[in-house]
This record gives sequence, structure tokens and C-alpha cells, in this order.
Amino acid sequence: MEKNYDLAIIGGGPAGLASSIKAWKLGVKSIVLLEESNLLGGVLPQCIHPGFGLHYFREDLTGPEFAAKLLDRLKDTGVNVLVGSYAEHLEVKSSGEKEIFGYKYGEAFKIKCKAVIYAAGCRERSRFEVNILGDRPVGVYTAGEAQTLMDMYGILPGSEIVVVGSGDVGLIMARRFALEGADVKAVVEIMPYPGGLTRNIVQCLEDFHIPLYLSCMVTEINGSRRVEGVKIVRVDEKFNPIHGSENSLKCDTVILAVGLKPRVELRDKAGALIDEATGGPIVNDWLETTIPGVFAAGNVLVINDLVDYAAEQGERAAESAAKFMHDGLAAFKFKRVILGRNVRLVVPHLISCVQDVTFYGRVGKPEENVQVRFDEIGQAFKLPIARPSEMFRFKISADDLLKLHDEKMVVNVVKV
Amino acid sequence: MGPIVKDGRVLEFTCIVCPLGCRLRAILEDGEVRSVEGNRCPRGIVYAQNEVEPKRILISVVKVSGGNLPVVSVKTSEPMPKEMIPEAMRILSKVTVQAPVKIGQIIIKDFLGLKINVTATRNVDPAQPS
Repeated sequence: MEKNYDLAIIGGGPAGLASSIKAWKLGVKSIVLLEESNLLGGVLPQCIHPGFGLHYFREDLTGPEFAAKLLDRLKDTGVNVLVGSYAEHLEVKSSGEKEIFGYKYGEAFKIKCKAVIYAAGCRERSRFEVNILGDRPVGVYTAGEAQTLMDMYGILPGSEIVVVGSGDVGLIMARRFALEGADVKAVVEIMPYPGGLTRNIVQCLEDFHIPLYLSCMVTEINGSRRVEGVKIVRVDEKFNPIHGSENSLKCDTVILAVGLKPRVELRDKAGALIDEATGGPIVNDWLETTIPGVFAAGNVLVINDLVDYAAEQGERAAESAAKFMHDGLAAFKFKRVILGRNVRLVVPHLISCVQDVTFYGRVGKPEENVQVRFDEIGQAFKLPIARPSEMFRFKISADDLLKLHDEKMVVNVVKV
Repeated sequence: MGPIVKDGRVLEFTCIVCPLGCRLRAILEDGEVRSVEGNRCPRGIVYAQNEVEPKRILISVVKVSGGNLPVVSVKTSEPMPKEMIPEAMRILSKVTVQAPVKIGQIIIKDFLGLKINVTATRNVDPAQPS
């Protein structure tokens, strides 16, 4: 199959859905949305807990409800939705035309288009990316796999659970297991502080009396056929195991909630530059990657705390793509955003200073009573508490950005 | 640990209104909050008053017969008393609904006599004939 469209959107999660709807509203009438699974919504359908949509829909929704609202809006558009369609390869012609090669249920397709919004989301890190050695028995799942089994298919993956990682994903899964009658033995966290929101520590762990082991790591999974237990060791402040602190914990299931990584494989082949801090592509304030006309939004751009941010980025990318196709994006002289004190990441990486910009970022370590400072333009935002697990998000107006005379703008998190 | 009752009249817990996570001590008299310590803003007092009888939105899944998925996700329409959650889960584990299920459909009316409903949070279509 070979087809032509103006805009191709890769990924049918919240960012891809929001950008499809927005692009249609902005008058782009030839759009294809490619989704590799058979179900639209990305991770939302399996996230049955509330807490979604407070910003985007101004309502507290569960994941499937958030997805259903977007799908309702999509229904009113003429976006061509192709499910079961995996985009494998992106090529950019010297004319600027893009070609996407992929498969739909085993049949190859080629899509030619003028602009691409890449919204392929992220993947979960595996045990081998966090150096958990030992056996390879049945009973080791990522949090997302366990969530799919439980909340899409009604299958409880085990009865004695150890959760590795105390980010919100790990905490929410610990609660789901406890609610369904499993014995959650422990949540194990390598850092000296929990990764997730305080709300989730209280409502997921304390409500169910689940122990949280801080400054501890799982080093081994043991079991010949089924998981029989894990080895846990305490670590020092440099994350080196403390000799003599090894302990065994009996369990039949290990749940890995050890972080997410943007899925940039397709874009990598096209040659867009990647930021090591975010793991996603380097973008300017149009959310355009270093390939003209290829935009990024959602968790492929930066791992977001809130689905609302992913949807917001999707809309932004749609506005940019529409403008790119309609008037073209002028060749701005972009200025660099530089990571300063206690700033782990910021997007966008490059700014034109001709429009309002929403910055998303994370600190490197927890601190209280700090300011996020943009000194070159005299802007500062208070942050009563700064934690790596909580993204900061600030909108700065074009008027303020115009004050930037240097070639760069440094973002610092400073004690006040 | 959840709220710890000390001397039968002091409750201790972490405030979750904002990320600061203040450690609160609520002093009770006749089951009512008399005073709150440890809060860094007025919202902590309101939170403490509510936490004397903590309530939570309950989410789970219930079985579906004849659907394209074997379960449907559900939630309580309002927060329910935390101590009733184990009982609520026992009841939900015994419920089976017939496909199709529509998002927002009431699965159980007046759940546990609490004047709240259990509603479906996704659509489950009938199974496609194979």
C-alpha cells in the first residue's frame, strides 16, 4: 500500500490523539494516525485509577475515561486512523518530503507526507537495565505488563509481590495488588527518598501497611521455574552495596517499576539529534526536532508526570505542523537553553524568542524553598518543594523572552 | 502506617494536599478535631478534619460475560470510608455484568448503603463471533 497525506501522526496515545484532533481543527484535512496496537489510547486504557485530566479536562478522570473523551472528539474528525500499523522507518527526501515505511498486520505500507508528529511514547526499563541478575523464572513483570494483565484481562499475576522502584507507577501497582488480595512484601527503592508523590506514598503504601525499603536495591531474582525470592542489599550514598547487609525476601512475583525511556528508535534512523538528559529528541519551541517538519510530543519527547502535559504537547506540535505546512517555519536564529544548578532536564532545548514558550523540566535532587531562575531575562518562579519526581512547568511570554540578548539562557534552581 | 491513635485522642498522619507533605498531629475531643499541629497552611486543618474518617475513591475491575474483554474497570462515584474497602472488594469480586457495558453505566446502585454508585469506566463491546 502506498498513500499520500499532508500530516502523519505516529502513535495513538494521548499525545497522538490530542494532536490529531487539534490538527484537524486547524484545517489540516489530510491526516493519518498510525497506531501499532489494536487499541487507541496508549497507556490510558490500563490505568484505571483516578487522577487524570485535572488540567486538560478540568475533571478528575480515570485513564480509560480520559481516553474515551479524546476518542469522542476524534470521532468528529476525518482523521484516517490505522490501527495495527507499525511505523518502522522514516526517510526525509532532499525535497523535504517524508516517507514512512511500516507494516499493517504483516503487509508493508509506505506513506508519503509533508510533516510528521512523532508521538510514539515510551517503554519500560527492564531488569537488565538496572543490573538485577540471578535466574530467569516465571513471575517477573514490568509494572505495565502486570497492569495490563490485572486491569484489562482480570488476571492476578501472583500472590506474594516485591515491587522494585517507588515511582508513582510502582506505588500505584503496589496498591492494586494489595486491593486484589495479594501480599505486597515490600517496595524497594535505591534512592534515600521515595520516587513518587507524597499522595501516593500515603494512599498506596500507608493505607495498606506496605513496607518501603529506601536506599536498598534488589540484586538478584531467584527461582528455578517460578520466582522464589529476591536478594536485597542496602546501598551507601554512592549506591554501592553495603557489605554484610544482604537479605533474602521470599516472594513469587517481582514487579519492575524502574523508569521509562522515550521510544526514539524510528527517529534515530532518520538522524534527529537526541538529548541525553531526556532520552528524547532535541526540539525547538515549535517542538520541532532537528529534522525540519518532524515534530515530537508526549513521552517520546520527555517523560511526563501528567497525561495532561502529553496532550498539551500534542496540541502544540499540531499547531506547529499546521503552520509548517501552511506558511512554513521561518529560519529563526535559535538560542540555547542551558541546564544550570540542580536542573536535570528542560524542554524545549532551543528557543526562537518570538513566541510564548511552555518550559517543562526536572530538578536533579530534592530541595525546599527554591526558585527556578531564568536570570538572563529576569524571570524567577517560586518552588516551595522541588523533587526529581515532580516536573516543573512554566510559561514565559514572548515579551519576556525578547529581553534575551545572549546566545543562551541558563536555567538555575537556587535556594532563596 | 495510616493514622496512629495515641491515648485514644491524637491522630498522626501526612497531609497530602500539596507536595510539602506536612506531618500533622490532630488532637481529638469527642471524635472531633480540636486542634492541629504541624501544618504549614490552613488547608492542613481541613485535611486533618477529613482524615478523622478517611475516605477514598475505590477502583477495581468486575467480571464481564460475553464481552470482548473479560473484565470492566469500575470506580465509586464518590469517595467511600476507607475501613469499608475490604468489604467492598469482597462484594465486587462476586459481581458479573453482561456485555455490552457502557462507560458511566451504573454497575451497583447505593453501594453498601452509602448512597454512592459503582460505575463502569470503560466500554466493553460484545465479543465478536469467531
